Amino acid sequence: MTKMPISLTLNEHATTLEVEPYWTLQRLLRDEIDLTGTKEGCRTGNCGVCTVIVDGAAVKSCLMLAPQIDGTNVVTIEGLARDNGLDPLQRAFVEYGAIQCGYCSPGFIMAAKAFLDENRHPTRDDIASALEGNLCRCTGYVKIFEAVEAAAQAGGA
Amino acid sequence: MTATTERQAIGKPLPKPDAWLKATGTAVYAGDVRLPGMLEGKILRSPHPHARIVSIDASAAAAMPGVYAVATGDDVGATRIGRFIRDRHALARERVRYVGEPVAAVAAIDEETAERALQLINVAYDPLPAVFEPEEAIAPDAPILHPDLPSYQDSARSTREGNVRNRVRHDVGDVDVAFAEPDVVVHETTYRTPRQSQAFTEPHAAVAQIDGTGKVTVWASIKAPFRGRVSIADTLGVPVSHVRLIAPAIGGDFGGKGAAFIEPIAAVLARKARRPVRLTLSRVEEFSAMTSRPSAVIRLRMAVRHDGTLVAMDASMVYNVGAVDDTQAGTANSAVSLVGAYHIPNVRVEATSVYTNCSPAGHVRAPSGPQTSFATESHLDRLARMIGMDPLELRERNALRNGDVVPSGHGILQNSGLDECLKRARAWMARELGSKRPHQGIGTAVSFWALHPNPAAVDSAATVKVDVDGSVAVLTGVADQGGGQWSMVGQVASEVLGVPVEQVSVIAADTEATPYEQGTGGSNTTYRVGNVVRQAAEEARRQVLRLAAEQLKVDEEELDLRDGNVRVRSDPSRQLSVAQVAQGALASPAGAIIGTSGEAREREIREHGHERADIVDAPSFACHVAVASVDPETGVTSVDRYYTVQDVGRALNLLNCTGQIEGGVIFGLGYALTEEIQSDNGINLNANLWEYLLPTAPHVPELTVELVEIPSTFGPFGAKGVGETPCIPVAAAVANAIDDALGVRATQVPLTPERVLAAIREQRPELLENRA
Ligand code: FES
Ligand code: FES
Repeated sequence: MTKMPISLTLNEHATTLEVEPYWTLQRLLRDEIDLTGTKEGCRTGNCGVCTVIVDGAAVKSCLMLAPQIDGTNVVTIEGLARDNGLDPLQRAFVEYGAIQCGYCSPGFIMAAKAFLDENRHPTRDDIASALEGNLCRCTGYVKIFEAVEAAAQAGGA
Repeated sequence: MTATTERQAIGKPLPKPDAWLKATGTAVYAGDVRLPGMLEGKILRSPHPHARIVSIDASAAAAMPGVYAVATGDDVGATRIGRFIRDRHALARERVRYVGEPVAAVAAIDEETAERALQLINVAYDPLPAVFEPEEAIAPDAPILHPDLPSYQDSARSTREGNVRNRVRHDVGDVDVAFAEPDVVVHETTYRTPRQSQAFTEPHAAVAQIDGTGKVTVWASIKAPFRGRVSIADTLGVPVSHVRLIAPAIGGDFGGKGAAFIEPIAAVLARKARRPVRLTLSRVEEFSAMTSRPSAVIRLRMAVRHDGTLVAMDASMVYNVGAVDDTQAGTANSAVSLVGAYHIPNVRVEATSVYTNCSPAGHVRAPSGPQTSFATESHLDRLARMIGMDPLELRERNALRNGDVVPSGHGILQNSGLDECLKRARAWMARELGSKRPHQGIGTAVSFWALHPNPAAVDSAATVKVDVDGSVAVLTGVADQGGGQWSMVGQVASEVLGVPVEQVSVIAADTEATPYEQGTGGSNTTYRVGNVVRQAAEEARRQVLRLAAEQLKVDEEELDLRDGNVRVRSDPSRQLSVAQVAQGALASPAGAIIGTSGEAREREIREHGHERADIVDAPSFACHVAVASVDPETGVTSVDRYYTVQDVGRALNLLNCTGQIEGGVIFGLGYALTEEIQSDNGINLNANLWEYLLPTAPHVPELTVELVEIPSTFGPFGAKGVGETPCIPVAAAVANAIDDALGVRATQVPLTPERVLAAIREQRPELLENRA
């Protein structure tokens, strides 16, 4: 097959790539440009470990085709930390013990990031439903809720 | 160290050092390893539950452009592999025994090419009769899965015959006489439990590389690298020293990553292709062809006196261990765990595990715990109801006490926290639970995990090095599957050596670079590995103090070691940093500061006048309370609140302890309410994440976790195991809450709406008749 050229903003860098039309965004990120912080758990949209942010919205990168990101702004877990340090969500996930095996963490952090950007003062129920599409088998979710709540507070301060 | 000394690291809610990597996406998991020229591997799996392999023609696949290697059973050694019993080959030889068994594998330039090549492999099968239920499998004319079974190598003594993988009997007292007592109440029920998937978020992955001398390096999601390398070596037909297995970050295990399945296949492909090969499993492969918790049918009869004294238990358990058994002793050794946390004078339990043509059985968090607990803890509730006693009181009356011999035969119970857990649970209920809403019920259940804390062999070692900048490196073979083992290791070394935890690095889980370790799991890692790390660090500490004493010209007893400094107690201005001591050591005849430990714990236990097998030093008890509401019209159960109190001995890391317990409870809730691998003729039907239902964020009830700390004598700083205990009794606690709510007993897990509704229809049809 012939590759297609696409251009996008990837983690704040203007980027041009050649992609196969059948590649998923996940495949592109993980296997073609080695951004392995985006994980793979099912390829069917049911686990959320592959969540990234496209134009401000959390998407499961296994469900999006690479050509669809032409012209968009994509942020992956690798692009979340800024010059002045980690995102408050990353810090909170570490400090509140929301990370055990950590395989779900990049996806949770990206999903929570997109959510908090739109919802400054969420209740625990809001958080739970926003994160319904992300599985965590280790933590039982409690410490993830606490981390997102703490980050919401830090962000609102 | 005096009791008032402030701790360096132990007991604090410390974030895990590796969590920073995980939060930034920079932690490397096996599937993230990238090597130049790396190929993608794919596995061709059996479509038949039972068949003879007549022939395999892989010539077309091998000739395909972009294909570098095709491997079949001819490429793997004749030696069988397996975690406990050696009952399989990495790629099937001559016969397939379950749908999904690996038959051939391909390494190609990319995934698509590998997939296409698989389709070109022509396997001729001669189907054989298959059996899926243990009852069929033990029938006299049943097809035999493993005709050579009696000659297989097993890690423990087992009784094998026909399709019976193992049969264990546990006999105490005289059951028949006890049941014939005039004044006892007897209750009998049959309980059924499902196959449960570990369902870690990271599917198995392995990357194998071979060098010019034939040595293989494999990065794999395997929590027991020293065990895994044996399977790779046997498959390749090379000595274990030719295999280096490294376990990087692991995305969850829950028992499912304790043995080699795909690693030997990756290694065979890499050897044939002469290039690195990555093999990652799909979620469908995980659910359909990898191990799961064996299903069980448990017939249980118990007798209790009117005063609440348990007098007898008579039971038979049958486990379906599939075609390949990766459980210890076929799980049949769990006969004893059915007795639970109680003193019962007369017991007769027979446990049988049976091979069938279903997908493999393996360990899942607290192997055999949830099955046996569901039966016993459900049964106790019914017995309490029958004699009109409070269910918690019945448990209190019969609870094991310090000095009792634990039914598992593992020895005499010491340091029990059970009484305290029961007391705290009762207090919480009195304090927090007001009047119940209609159709709401409260269920309690006790958890006990003591199968493994005293393994029968020396199984771990550690090396602790103090560097010239005062930093510390710990070498340990232990893998971290998410349980926080590496941060535990760092904390223990930090505490002993008085060096800030940030200055301790942990080099781990590399069979070439780190000392031997049997493998994470069984909730005994902290106890076992923590101890050898403590001892190695103590040895290094002694060297530091001795050298510092020489330099400062004082007695060692005069010295205090904390925050990276050695100070003279009476005159803190006289001090040396650990860095200075380590530099001095290099310039002295003592040389570098290195502490090691292998069998020091054995010595320690003997010095206290024990044999390891005589005592249950670190029993892990918990008491759970579920508050659940049941809709009698739909049978839908929702858990409103959940409480657990657990004795952790000593919380080495508060965040880790409560995190393990919260995760364990939710794991148990999945087992209680939704999780079940369903199959038809050996084909797993719900082999995906939209039909195999895991708990998600909105399912989490209001959850309260309390800790009790009754220290163990020999665990590091008094710690006990944590991770298995919380998932064990959840199904029983929920079933007991349903019973309390509606007066119906559901005896099959998961407690789906259909099953609860069926129980209502059968036991309390009036609840349905009353509806408008
Ligand atoms: S890998 Fe994308 S949702 Fe699971
Ligand atoms: S931390 Fe392991 S899956 Fe969430």
